[in-house]
Amino acid sequence: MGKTYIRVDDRLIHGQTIVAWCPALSIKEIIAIDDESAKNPMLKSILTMGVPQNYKTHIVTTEEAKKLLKEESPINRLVIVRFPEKLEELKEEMEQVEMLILGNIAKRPDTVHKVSGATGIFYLSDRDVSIIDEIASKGIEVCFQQVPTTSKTTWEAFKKSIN
Amino acid sequence: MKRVVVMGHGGYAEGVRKNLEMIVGVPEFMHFLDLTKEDDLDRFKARVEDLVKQFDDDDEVLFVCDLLGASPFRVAAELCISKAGKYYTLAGLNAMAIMELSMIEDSELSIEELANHAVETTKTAVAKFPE
Repeated sequence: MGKTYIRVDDRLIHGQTIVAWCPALSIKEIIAIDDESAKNPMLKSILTMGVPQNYKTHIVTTEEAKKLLKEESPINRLVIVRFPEKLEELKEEMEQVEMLILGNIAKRPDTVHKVSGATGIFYLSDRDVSIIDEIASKGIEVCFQQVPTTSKTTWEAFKKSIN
Repeated sequence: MKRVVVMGHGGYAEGVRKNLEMIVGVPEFMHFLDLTKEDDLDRFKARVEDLVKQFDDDDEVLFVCDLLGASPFRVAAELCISKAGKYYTLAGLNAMAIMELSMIEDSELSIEELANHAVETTKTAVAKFPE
């Protein structure tokens, strides 16, 4: 059975993800969740234009993603969401996830935590932290990492830095 | 009037500007915008929109982006949706194609033909030696 990974990246499908992460994790299928883009064929085609055709690519609503993730897959899948809050709607689906990789996350009005360095720039709100904490407590590996070749900050290390 | 907006990552646009400056000169209808490490998608989008606001309504624009699918490309492509037939986005053009674009001011070709031509030049102006 294939493995499922989740990436949080506000750019959704991005070159760094396709060029660096997909080969490193042997990803064959990409499930990008964004309700707005999923309902707009033009935005959908802009997002998928940069993805080579050897990947199965879906730009889907949260509901459609849930359906896709219910089916067992023989290939490795990468699920991409723009912000951590989306993970709350995917609690059930999280159970099958190998690793949660935090990519680029932009500043928002309620973001009080900042992680920056070789791993990229990430802004998190207190709510984001508690959502991700819950995921980490289930034994899923959580880390900040821009691309596989840059340094990685574990969730535990980040938690220690804010306490 | 026809305009060309070069956009890319980490100094790409500035590099293209310097490249043109040395070889053929930089015309006024060309604009250069770089995505920096500090930009997020929204901030970069706002910078591009600020530039486009200075253009006339009937201006035709070719966006020249470094990488297919990356943020500058996406911002440009989204702007093209509402300006169908007038705005086009190109990605991955090479120096020869961009140099040709710096000389389109009095071109008889339509903006779409110029876009197609730039893609063709990129394909033909690439080589390996020895063959």
